Amino acid sequence: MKIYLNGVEIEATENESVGTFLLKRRQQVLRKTRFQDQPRGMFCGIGVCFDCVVTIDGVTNQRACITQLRSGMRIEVTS
Amino acid sequence: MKTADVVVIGAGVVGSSCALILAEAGLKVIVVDRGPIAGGTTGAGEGNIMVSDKEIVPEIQLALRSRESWFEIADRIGNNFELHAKGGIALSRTDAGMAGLRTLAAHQNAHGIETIEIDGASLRELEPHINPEIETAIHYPGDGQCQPMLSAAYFLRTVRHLKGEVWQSTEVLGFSKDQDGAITGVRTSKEEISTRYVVNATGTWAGDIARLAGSELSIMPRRGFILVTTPAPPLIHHKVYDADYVANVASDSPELQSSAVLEGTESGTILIGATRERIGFESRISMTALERLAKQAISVFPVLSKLELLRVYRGFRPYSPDHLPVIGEDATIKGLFHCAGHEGAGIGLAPGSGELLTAMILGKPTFMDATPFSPKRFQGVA
Amino acid sequence: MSRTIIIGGGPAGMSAAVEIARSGGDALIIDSNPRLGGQYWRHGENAQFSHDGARFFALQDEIDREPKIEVRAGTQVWRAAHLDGVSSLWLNDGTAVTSDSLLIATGAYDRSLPFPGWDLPGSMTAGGAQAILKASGALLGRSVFIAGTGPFLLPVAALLVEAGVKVLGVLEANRVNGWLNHLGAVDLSKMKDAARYFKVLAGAKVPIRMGYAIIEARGNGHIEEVVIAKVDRNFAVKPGTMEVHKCDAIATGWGFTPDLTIAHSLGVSTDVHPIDRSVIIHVDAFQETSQRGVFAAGESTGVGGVDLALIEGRVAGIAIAVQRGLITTIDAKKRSVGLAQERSKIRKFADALLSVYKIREGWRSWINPQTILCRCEEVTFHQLRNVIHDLGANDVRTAKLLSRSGMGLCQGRVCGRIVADVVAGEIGIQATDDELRGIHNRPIAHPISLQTLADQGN
Repeated sequence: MKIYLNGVEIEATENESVGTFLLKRRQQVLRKTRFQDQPRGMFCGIGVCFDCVVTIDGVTNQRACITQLRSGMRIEVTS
Repeated sequence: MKTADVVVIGAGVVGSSCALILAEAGLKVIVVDRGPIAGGTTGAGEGNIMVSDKEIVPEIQLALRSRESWFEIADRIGNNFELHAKGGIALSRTDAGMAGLRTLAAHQNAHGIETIEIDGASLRELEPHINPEIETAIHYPGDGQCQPMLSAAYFLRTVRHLKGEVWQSTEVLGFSKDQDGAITGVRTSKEEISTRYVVNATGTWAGDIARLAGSELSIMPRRGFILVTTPAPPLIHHKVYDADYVANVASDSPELQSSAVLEGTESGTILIGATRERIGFESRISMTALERLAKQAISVFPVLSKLELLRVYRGFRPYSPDHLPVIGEDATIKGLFHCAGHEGAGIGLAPGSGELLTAMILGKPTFMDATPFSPKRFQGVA
Repeated sequence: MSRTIIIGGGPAGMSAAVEIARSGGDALIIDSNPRLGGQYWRHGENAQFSHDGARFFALQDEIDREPKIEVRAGTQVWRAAHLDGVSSLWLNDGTAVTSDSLLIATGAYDRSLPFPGWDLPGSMTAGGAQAILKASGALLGRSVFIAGTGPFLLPVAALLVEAGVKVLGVLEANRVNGWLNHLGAVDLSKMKDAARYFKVLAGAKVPIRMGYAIIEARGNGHIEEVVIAKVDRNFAVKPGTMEVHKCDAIATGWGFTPDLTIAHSLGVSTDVHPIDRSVIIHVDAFQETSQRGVFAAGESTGVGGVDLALIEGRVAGIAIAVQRGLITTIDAKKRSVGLAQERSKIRKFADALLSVYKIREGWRSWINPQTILCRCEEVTFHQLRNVIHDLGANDVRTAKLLSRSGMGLCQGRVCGRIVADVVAGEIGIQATDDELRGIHNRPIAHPISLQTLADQGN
């Protein structure tokens, strides 16, 4: 399936979460914190900590670790 | 036994404002609260410092002075409480509503509130994400915002620096009086404080304290909910509210009244108010209230449909029978001063109320005629 | 009584559903994950990493074949309320369900402790490291330290080793002697499990160090090295024992926190566990809570692992079937033979583990003023100390309100207990039971789209 990462079209094959997909592409940093601009990635991996939030299809604060990839998905990551 | 010039009961924004101004005037102040700082309605406030929703003339006067006082206090003690002169925007989508807003604005102008009627283009300059269907609004540059809990906390910090004391988790058990019925002391769960002046700044619970002192004060709770969204980049730049808000504030209906009051905060969350209900101290969340708030918010700012609700909090606004605060000496108990019943305007009106109160206690002239706020109007004395 | 609603499709929820269906009753399982299995059975396409898959597939198959069991996966409860015997649940798809028969099986999640750098990318919980590997074969890093306390560290370490990760060490903060004796005291299969993990780790020459902890993680934008140190019996750092090691990720595990958000919203009674002061749902011998018709099973009644969850789920399912008049108490007794004893045995063992693998308060000596305590709102130890000592906050709730701790996206799930312990420590008291309960007070259980909320009113 085709998905878009920061506007760039990428091929994705596995049925997996946005978080693990990005991790496998060596994208460990998913966002910068809003007050101190510090890098964050996945921490709890199970949707509890909300550290891994990215913008998906224009909606902010979506947890990368529990959101499954979908064809045509637009993911925005700030690192 | 402890001695104080004044005992302020209530460590919320009103109590802490009174305490601050009394302490700055050189008085030894002890603030007593059965709970923690900002444990009452202050902890559930939006942070409104509004002149735009004021209609009754004495309240306008109090609001204008109080708003200035907020900024003067920030200059004196440091702005550690997110005080921001962000300005307000009142809008209406009906002709009748807009006509009502204009009439109100004209009246407010006459009494010193600055209002600017703006058209759709100017509105969208001030608020790019506002519903494009909204064509006119009134801009109130005088409206402001703060973080109410931090305000109370920092005011009280200054009180402590000025040799005042703050006793949290301390219950007021009763009052000592002399043979004329004047206050001579306050009995608390910690120890008794000898004093001739007590300020009842307990907001929604002011009636309880009045009764404990042997007096009467009718202050009732008016429940309100606020929705807090997940953090977002700045989307809303002013305090924006629907004209119906003013009508709701003045309404005597016990039913759920709701109209949109929206603003962003420094932490990135957006606060969505406001509902009003006379439902006692019922604390369970009303799903209807939440649904209405969400609907109203989206209709003013469609972009909000992409945000999520993160948490809800609720508070009980203290209101008096005529919707004006009660500021002044008790009709029968000398030395007992009330400063309560500010409904949903407590934060904005707090420093001004504190100034009135301090002047009254010191026997100095008040900055305005405070008779309309006198407790005597309810206590059966002319 | 109406169809039983089961919140949580992990081992407890699944086994309860099966018991109810076998009794002729209907049930609805609501789970936030795309597939059933909870935290314990996380199966992605990579079945080779499935843990103890046979039991899961048996339950999954029965649930699939049973028309009386409806499953709504990928669905979150965002609000729960209980009134006059009826529980109402609002779901993030905009619908709401109600029933007078409910099972709370919301499980638990990793408990975390802060230390400088715990917020760096590359720092994950032990549960998280396992979850991403099980779900899709993702590795948290190439050379990894595993640290914390508890028997859970071993299977995570073994799993990572088998996946090809270089595990540089397993650091168990407690000094645990006679491990195998403990485990063997319960049953041989536990001992066999442990022996297998040790074998895997020994085969890869992974050092297991007792009485050690990661006290700092460092790196430029992500973890590049850690500082480990020997800790005393109270978890305080022993001077002169610090070592710096290069690594690219860490997995830390400090036991589990039961997920009590929905239980709190429903108003059921809770207990504060005497050993670790975690808050758990109070249930009777039939897994029923203080509210009639509301049952609870699994980790949320006390952390005890998958075997306990399965048994509690069965006990709950059978008791629900009796309460709904689907089976007689005689039938119930027949189906429950041995369950109560087994449950009791495993609970005792689980409590014994909690005593051995206790979190000791010396961890507070690992943090410095710049250490982030609330990750979501980036509240540091310094800021928290400030609201206590400068602003006079003298209880946990006020300290949170003035510092913003716990007010971010996770609503205190990660930091709640941490902040409570730090605040109490600063004031010189212990967090009260009610303060610990208050951590789980989230009337909005999960973020919900404003549009969904608005549409609900139509």
